[in-house]
Amino acid sequence: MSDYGSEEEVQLDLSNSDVVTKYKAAAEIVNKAIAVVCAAAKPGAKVVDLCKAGDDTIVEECKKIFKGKQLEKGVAFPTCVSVNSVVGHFSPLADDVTELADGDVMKVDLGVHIDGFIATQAQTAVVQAADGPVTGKKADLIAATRMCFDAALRLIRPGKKVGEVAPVLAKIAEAYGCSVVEGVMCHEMKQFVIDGNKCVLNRPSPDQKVEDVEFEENEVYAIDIVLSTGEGKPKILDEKATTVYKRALDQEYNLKLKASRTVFSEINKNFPAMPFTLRALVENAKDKDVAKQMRLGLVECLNHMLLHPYPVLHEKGDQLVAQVKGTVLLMPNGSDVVTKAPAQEVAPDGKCEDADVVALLATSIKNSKKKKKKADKAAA
Amino acid sequence: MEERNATGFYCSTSGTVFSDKESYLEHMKSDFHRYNLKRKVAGLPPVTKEWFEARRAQLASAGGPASGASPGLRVWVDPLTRKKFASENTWQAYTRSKKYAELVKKSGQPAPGPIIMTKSAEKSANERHEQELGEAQPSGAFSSKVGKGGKPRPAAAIPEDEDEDTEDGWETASDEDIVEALPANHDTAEADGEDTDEDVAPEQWEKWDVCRSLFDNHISKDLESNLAYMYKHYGFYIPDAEYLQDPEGLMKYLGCKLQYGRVPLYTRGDDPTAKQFRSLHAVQRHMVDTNQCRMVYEDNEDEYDEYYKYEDELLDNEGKELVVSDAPPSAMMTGGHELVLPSEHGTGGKILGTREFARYYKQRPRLEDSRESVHVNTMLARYRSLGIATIDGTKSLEAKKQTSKTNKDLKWEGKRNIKTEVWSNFVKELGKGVGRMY
Repeated sequence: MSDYGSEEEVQLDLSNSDVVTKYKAAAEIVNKAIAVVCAAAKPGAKVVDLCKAGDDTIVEECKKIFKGKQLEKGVAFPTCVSVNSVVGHFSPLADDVTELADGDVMKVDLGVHIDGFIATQAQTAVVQAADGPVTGKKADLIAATRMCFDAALRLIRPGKKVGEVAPVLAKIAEAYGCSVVEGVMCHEMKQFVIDGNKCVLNRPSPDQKVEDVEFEENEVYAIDIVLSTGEGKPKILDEKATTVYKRALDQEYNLKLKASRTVFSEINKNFPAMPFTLRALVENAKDKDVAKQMRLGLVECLNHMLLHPYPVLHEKGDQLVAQVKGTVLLMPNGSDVVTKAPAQEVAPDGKCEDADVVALLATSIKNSKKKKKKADKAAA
Repeated sequence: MEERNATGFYCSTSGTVFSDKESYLEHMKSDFHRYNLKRKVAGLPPVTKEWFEARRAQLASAGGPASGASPGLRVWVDPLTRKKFASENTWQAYTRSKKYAELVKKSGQPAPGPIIMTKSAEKSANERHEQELGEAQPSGAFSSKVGKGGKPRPAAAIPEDEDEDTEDGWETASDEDIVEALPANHDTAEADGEDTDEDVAPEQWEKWDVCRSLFDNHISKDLESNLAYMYKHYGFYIPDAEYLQDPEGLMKYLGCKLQYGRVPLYTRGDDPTAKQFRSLHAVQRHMVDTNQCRMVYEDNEDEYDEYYKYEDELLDNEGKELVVSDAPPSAMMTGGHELVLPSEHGTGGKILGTREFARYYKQRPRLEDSRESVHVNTMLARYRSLGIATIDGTKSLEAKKQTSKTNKDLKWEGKRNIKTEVWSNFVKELGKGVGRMY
């Protein structure tokens, strides 16, 4: 009864400095990859190329670090480049022809893991030929998203509860004339686990509810904010467009078709626990038949729920969607946002003037010693 | 026993009819009737009165000085072989036989006269004799031994109840020869430790003739025919005959076990509670009668260890020892189930399985994915699908300890709850206006 956790005292969480090192290393790579993709995002560039560029950067960088040790490292979330009304998870196959156009609101989303410790980031940028600040509605959207991110950052701290986050986000979004997209969550991450148990619903809805738990120290969260100019209720337009999948490990089934068996064994070999994209599956496969059999094989896997899909969601019409995502480590001395890529300059028109929000945003995310002493004095 | 007959009285034991009552009653009291009764009990056919009288007269004349006992209880003993004869005639017949003549010649002494003695005396003499170590020359020495023992041969012997009168001249040992306890005889015996069976000195053991049957002293041509004879007539066989190295030695040992130990062959050599018989004849007859003409072998290999040799397992047909050679084996069996072909000679070390295990060979076991990422996510997914919250490992142990209630607390809480409930029930039952003031 007393010592049931004693074997786990060598905690593989942030109290261990090695773990922190790995997170930071992963974050470094993520930052680099996003920078690369953003740099390559010019009008006329193919989306596929951008995705590839992102993934390749990740793989390359991962090779360079932690060379001596036998660690699993690589892509934790495949590079997805979603434009305009596409909410996310758009990582097409090699033969896709989608191109970037000028003025597209591009969302780059990717993740890296080192020894199972995941760092993931997403940035929104507007594709423009020239380098200048973004203006107009897009600027508002992006600024709102960023502000929401900052707010969430200050709300997801040890001692605070899950339910406190959503209202603030809603306020900010309203102030900028946008809405928080439904179904998006900030979730806790653990080693090898990209979507942990604790999660924060950015926009609670009647059919989706989450337990109101407290945030604790030494936890890692992926804060994912998605705002849209429309209603914020995305839909799946084309199921076949889904390319990002994750193996659902609790399901077991003996596949009947040989095609599905080959595909499935490939998946298990290369991507047992993390989400992957079909493009990567085909690339990594040694067997050439995989490409041919892939579609057919996938069908059976999906029918028996062996794979969990990350569908490509679309907003209504030509509404725009912006996303900001980052990984934050809840350290004893404050929150450490490890993922920080160079962000595009934005010149928003709107502003959020809510007093609470402003006050919140003014707080520091670090626990400085001075403030602690003051707080103690105030309490006493 | 009696049958009322119109013609007279009939005695079934003696098979005679009496005309009147007086003679009948007299008959009943007579020795003749008594003798017939004994015969009946022994399973022998009754004798006629004339025969009986003649016999009595004969015994009286021949054994007059030596025995005052009832006739028919005297025994002739041949000093040379210590063979017993129930009557003068049989003794005479034996004396005239060829074998006896040979024996006499061998012993180099003139034919000794028979020693006639009563049964009981003979028995005690037998015991005394067998208790002694050596089977010294019986002639002449016999009476001295008798004298040595200091035991007087009772002239007035205890009347025996048994009488042996078999057709052949050989006396067969009777059950009476079985010694329930070897009483006073042992005390007077020479202190040679004759209580145990095996204390006969080994030099005595060579005297047993291997051609002699263990059960009826039948002499065969040689050892093999003796074994065949014993097998045929008594079902006696030697176990583990393939590993028997010294059959003659074994035969002699068994013979001496019978002769000196006087325990049946089916008893173990070291068994102190074994039934020891009076004589060789006794034990032999016992084995035959009880149909136990066998050698005890289970758990008893040690007794015959000298005569067997088990390393013979390694000998092939020619008697040469098999040695594991360095030459490449042609094929090897693995535990009787698989055949391993040698790696040379083009067969390449393949393993051939048996048909019985075909179902196992057909199995295609799914290899478990042992990667940590897989494990973690599998368990998490399973728990989630069941709706169970997983343990949050990040909360500090101390905090958990503080918040969690110990078993003791819970127990007291429960008890208090019960107590409260019970009390409130009680109060309810009492009704209005009754109860504690607080």
